[in-house]
Amino acid sequence: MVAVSWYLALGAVLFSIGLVGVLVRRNIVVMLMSVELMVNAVNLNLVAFSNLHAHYTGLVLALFVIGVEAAELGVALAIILAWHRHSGRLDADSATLLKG
Amino acid sequence: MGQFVFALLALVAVASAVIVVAARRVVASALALVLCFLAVAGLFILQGAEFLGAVQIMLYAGSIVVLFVFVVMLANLRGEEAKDWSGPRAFGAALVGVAVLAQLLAVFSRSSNWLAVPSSGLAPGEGHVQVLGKVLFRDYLLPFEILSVILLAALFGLIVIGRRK
Repeated sequence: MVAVSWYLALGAVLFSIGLVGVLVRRNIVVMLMSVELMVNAVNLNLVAFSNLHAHYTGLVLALFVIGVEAAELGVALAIILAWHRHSGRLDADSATLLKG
Repeated sequence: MGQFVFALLALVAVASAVIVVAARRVVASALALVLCFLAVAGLFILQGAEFLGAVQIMLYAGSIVVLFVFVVMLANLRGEEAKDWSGPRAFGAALVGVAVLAQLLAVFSRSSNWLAVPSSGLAPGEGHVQVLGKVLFRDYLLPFEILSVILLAALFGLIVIGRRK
């Protein structure tokens, strides 16, 4: 068995990579992919704790995260497509409609 | 054996995550994302969460990445983000990333469970899904039903948003 610390460290690394991706990349689709990476890192931690305590709540929580993530992603990609039809671009810096 | 598999999967996960963030072409990012999801699914299975690993492969590596690829194809993306990785923004983002990583590791390493090894772990095999189903449908029935309503609402929402005017 691998110590739980390794899973936590891996989750932290994946989360940080995703965070850098969200901050650096300007393409909205790639930003969304980076968010997916972060969610995956969180799921990894949930499962690691679930395994550590031999308790199933973490697994159920991870399942809910996956479900909500699927719903969120569908809506997000629909919005991205609608916005691309509207403006012809997929660059987060050009989304300034609400800038005021 | 377990350590070796873990090291391999962790290496694949981190490397493909870096490719997702750094690749110039969006399709390359999407394909690296599949690899990362598969590696994480392998880690789930390694920890005894077989059902979650299967869900991860079906939902993430299967349908979600297909969604991404569909959007990339429909929007006809080209390599337009060559200048993302330069300038003060990339520097600041890298700084934030390193700071968050250091903070997470610092907080984790203060925990008393830091070096704990799971003693019994989750129930293996068939019993695993059985217990998970019981927990899901007995203790978490209401959140489960709410989740299905959320999915239905998202379905209606994206039909409305995606409809051509």
